[in-house]
Amino acid sequence: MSEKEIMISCRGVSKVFYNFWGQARVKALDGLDFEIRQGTVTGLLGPNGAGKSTLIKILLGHLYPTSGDLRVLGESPRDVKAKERIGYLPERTSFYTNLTARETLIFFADLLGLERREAMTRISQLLKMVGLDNIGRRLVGEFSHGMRKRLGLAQALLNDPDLLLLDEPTAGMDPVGCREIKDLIVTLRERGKTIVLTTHLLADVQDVGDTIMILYGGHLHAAGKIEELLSRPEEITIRCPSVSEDKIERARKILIDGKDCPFEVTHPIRTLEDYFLSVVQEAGASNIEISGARRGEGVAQYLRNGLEEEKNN
Amino acid sequence: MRKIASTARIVFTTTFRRGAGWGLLVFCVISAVFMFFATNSDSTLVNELQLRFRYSLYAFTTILNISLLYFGCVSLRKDIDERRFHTVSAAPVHRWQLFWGHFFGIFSLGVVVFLACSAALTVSCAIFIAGWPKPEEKAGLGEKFFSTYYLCYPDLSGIMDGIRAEYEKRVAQYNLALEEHEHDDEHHHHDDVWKGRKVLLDDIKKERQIISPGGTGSWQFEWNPASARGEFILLRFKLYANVQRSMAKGEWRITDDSGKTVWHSKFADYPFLAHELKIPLESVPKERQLKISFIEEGGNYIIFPVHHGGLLMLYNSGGLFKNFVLATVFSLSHMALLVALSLTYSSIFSFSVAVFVSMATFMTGLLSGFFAKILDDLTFFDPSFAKVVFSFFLKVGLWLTESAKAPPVCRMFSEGISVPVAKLLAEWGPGFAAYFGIVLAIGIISLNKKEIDKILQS
Repeated sequence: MSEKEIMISCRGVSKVFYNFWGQARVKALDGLDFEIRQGTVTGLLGPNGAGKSTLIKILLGHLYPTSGDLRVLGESPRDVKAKERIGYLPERTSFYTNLTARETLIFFADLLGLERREAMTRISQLLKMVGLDNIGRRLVGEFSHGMRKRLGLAQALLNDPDLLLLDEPTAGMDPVGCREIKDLIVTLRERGKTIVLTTHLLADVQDVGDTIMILYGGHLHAAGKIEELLSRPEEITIRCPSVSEDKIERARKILIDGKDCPFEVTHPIRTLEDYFLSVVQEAGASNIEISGARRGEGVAQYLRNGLEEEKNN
Repeated sequence: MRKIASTARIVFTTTFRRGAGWGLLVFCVISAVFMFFATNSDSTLVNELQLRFRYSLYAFTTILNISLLYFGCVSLRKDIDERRFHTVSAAPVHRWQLFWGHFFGIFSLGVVVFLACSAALTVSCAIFIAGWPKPEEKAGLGEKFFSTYYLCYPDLSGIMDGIRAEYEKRVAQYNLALEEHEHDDEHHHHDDVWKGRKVLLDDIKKERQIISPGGTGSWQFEWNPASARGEFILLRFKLYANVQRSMAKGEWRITDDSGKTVWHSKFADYPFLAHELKIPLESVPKERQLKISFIEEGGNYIIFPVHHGGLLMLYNSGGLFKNFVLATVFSLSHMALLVALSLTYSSIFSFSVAVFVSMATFMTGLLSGFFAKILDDLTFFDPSFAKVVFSFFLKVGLWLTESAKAPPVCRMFSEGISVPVAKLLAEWGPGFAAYFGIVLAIGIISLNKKEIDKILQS
């Protein structure tokens, strides 16, 4: 792990907002120290006003730290060169409403300096991936919030970034889209990509994250691997096929050995997300015509490059 | 370059898709055509065409200039306010590239609308000429409308120095008279100075230019003989005489460097009329300084009001198309400045403030002549310290706004006067270039250096 490239290095970074008279108004970040290495999915968590968005803006060079040293991909965040390897999905995706989805992506491909043929291939694959291929020629102004978010995701992945910054990626998305984003995050991590995501949906981070950082009042209060931070060594869970009451009673006697401590036996339930997705999948199989976003078709080929060979080996 | 071009294309496309671009285009074309057909002049074809062209050009260029200021503010400021700028600047693109992208996008809009209006005016002009009922007037269009003339004013520097010296002498006399009679009960005002500066200056101007009976008036014109075309140069003049009911008589002469008369022509006509004299080009010395004299022979006191365009020399220097190209280049340069100005303001101020300041700069630019007169009055004669300070601020204000004023090419083009490239570049060019450079630098630095959230909150 330690040989992996340091994607983000943050040393004593503080950010103070001043008023017109130069007096400190808000201390949004206070002496942040952390490192994020290649191939990890990091959840940036915290209540409103904790400093998550400020940190993301500083990572993108939109805001400048008041003090401390910050390196993104070894460069200053304001360095345009570093941005060639960064993908960014903003919380509020704002695009030109009078352009089509395809034109929007072509514009971003130009800004990224992608060769035109390569750009068109990627755009087709991405539109298919985010389920917008059927409405790629519709104006973005006609899109719902969720559809814009999908387009934002496609935009963020256009340059096949090494570092992906996702600000509330699942906010406003339908459960199908949420699952697709989570699947995508997993795929990208397998390819060695680094992902930083901020969200209020803790379950999302738990599903796909490796590490978390919890900010509060501009301070980093907790950071580490999710399984280490969340594991409860004083309890265990056993999962097995359904058995008779008699067998459960015998197991209880063996496991707690006459001690007076809690022992709970229940039937596990599916998550609502799993149940919803299975219903949608069945409905989708009946080929009902829809005017909005469709279910995405897996992960774009260029984002999976090298992955199949790796798995086969 | 690709990033700038791509941003410009997006700005241009979205302006039209929003409908605003089409709205501006249609409005400007309708204004140009409406103004052309709605105005009228003295029912002579050339004058009708020139006046209609002039009003049309003024109408659509003014609308276009004001609109470009607004569109410039909308283009960049809305991107910032609606946070598109956040998403776009997360891409590997410098913010100055985005600034230039917006600049070229809005400027292209201006070019397209300008050319569309010009095309509409050309068609209107063709329709108007075709429907003109006097065929004999159409025959003279080639010379009087489709040919353009370079306009030369007489060199007034010598006259102005004399006037100023005379003025100062009279004020000194007035002050001396005041000192001598300080203790007298009866004040002996010096009548001339008591008149007030403006009136006194006008009187001195007249006195210095009056040609007495048998006297001679001479004027120097600077021209470019190499660019003169056709067979004649024209001398247009008005003259006033003390005896209005008798003919003014005299002789026009052109002399060469050695003082030898190379051309002369007798003149006899009534004063208070506009006159035009054709001088064969071959008779005129091919020197950059041309000396023209008038010798009074009718026993009259006469005056040519040179300060008010009473004596002009013109020579054919090309066609209408060449003049259109030159006028277009100058007009578009001015539009480019306005676009840069609006983008700079919108990178510093909020949308509403940026629009207000852009419009205010443009409007005060139109009034720069008024402020220049105030400045002239303030600094004319031994100004006090307070006046010097005030005039300094006025000068800065003038400089800030004067460059936002269009060069006078629309008037020149519509009157068939050749756009004087060298003269305009010398008089207008350096100020324009400096102003343009500073405006761009402020805009780009402001957008590049400031935190995006600070730009958003401004």
